[in-house]
Amino acid sequence: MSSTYASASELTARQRSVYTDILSQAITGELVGMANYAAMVRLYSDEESQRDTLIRATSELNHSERFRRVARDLGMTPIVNLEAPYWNRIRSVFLEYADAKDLVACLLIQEVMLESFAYSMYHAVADVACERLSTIFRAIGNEEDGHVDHAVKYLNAALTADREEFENKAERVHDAVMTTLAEMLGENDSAGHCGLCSGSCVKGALDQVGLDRATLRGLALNRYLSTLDRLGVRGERSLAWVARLPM
Amino acid sequence: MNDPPAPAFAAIGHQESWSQIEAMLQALRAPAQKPLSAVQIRETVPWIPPRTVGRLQVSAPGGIPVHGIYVETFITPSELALRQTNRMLGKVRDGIRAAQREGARLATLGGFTSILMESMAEEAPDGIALTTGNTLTAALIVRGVERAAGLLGRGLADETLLIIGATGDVGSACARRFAGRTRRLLLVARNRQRLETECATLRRSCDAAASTDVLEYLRQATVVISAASTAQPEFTLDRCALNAIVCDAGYPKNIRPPSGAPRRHVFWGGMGRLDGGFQPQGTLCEKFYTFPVSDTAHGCMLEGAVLAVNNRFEPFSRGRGHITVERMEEMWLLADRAGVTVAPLFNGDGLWPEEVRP
Repeated sequence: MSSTYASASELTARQRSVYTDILSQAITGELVGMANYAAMVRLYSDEESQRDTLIRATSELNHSERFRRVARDLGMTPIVNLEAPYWNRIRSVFLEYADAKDLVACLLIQEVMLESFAYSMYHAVADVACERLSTIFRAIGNEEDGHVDHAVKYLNAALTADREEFENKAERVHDAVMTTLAEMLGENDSAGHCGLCSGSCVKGALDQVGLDRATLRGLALNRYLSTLDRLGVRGERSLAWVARLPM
Repeated sequence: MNDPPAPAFAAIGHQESWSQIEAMLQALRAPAQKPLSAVQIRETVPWIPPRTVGRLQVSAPGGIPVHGIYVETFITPSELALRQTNRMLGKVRDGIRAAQREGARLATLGGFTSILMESMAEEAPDGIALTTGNTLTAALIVRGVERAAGLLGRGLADETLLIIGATGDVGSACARRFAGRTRRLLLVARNRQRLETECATLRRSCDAAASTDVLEYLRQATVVISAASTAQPEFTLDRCALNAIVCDAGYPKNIRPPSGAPRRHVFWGGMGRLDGGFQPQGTLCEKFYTFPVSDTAHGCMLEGAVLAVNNRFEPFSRGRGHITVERMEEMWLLADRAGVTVAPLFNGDGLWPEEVRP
């Protein structure tokens, strides 16, 4: 994949604004991920899993720091807002499941849904961004990929133990979380301003950097459904879930 | 626990039109939800990975039910029209992997998926046999033409048969089967070299001629088999002889009878009917895969079921140009045991009037 722009200095003010908003989403998303992993530590009973989960929380923090650093180096000032409406809604759903000590639901949210979203968005940005941004987005995107592998093994075992229960739970989690993610990438903002864009909604300006909302949404959907396939969720069930999503 | 039964066979396919895809997605949405717009559907569907969308079982009359799945590749009509071959091939491969994940021992490739795999000549992945479904399609086309002639009180020995797409897997099989059984055989295909080779072989047993121009022969033909799969029809019906029997055997089916001038007898060729019906009924597939006759499906989709019912988990149809008359007869015997017959004749406007007359 080649970047559209070789250097950040070639970016127009409008393009810089778009990338700043994208970085705001990425940094906030990574911090939500960090908090989610930290909350998951206590859901494991064995020390090794607890340590691994803490390492993942640290890794998410590290991602957010790397995004911050590149933003600073490029003179961009992203907004970091964990109370941003969409992210706050997702975080609240996650905490309900964490409080209920439901590790399967927590893994579905963090490692299947949010990571699918992050992985696809990061790679899409990496494909069009200037070299500096492209490198960081691709590297972090690839690191996120490893998280999914870890979850697939655990979740697949849960599905094998009781398919019906697993799929019913996945459907409930999907309705709560993927609906919000779909709204984030939808044509219209149901929650009003997302709380992260510096001005008006970035979705309408994505074409300035060679991206578009429908493709980002499609890539995330593809990644999400492919991960559900890897888990062993019946194709017709996951298709029905995504057909109900807001567009 | 509570896993669906492992399928013996998978039918892998795609939809002919956006309206079918729309029907599928709308059927999955809650009744209270706003219907998806055409733009929303076109923005979403190309990203959906191939997946099982329906489960069914078929059984030979009095036999044990055999489980199968339908895997939708989500190859879109736009991808077909734009001939996005690499993208479509990727979806076919993913569709095969989806069938493999489910444990299917045999997959039949419907519509363009078989055309793509014919030309790629790829080896099947471990544990699953691939069949193009073309032998049953060809056999059903032949039976359909014979049925049409019978219903109209005409003898094929007096007819001039034009086969469009005569060097393709299905078209060449039909040509071999009808050689010497019609008054004259006219062959049309795009590849001149392959066409001349095919025609030279057939001339040993019948009166045959070949052209790369459809219009050169269209007026002479009293029976037409259009086995060329193109997004747009290769000809319009007003160019055909009056009272011509036209078998629309391509994919998608896109030859429509001229409105108000029912002087040509068009039917969708290669369609089979399962006597025992598909079970269970009321599935998602019924929302978008429907025909004027119940329990009907394309031959390419049915071939997997026929082979599975007969415990023949093998690549029965493979490559291009290997379907002999004997193999078609063998397939017909297998189809008969599975309760698959040629479907009553119909076209986009419904069942033939001759099929409903007492």
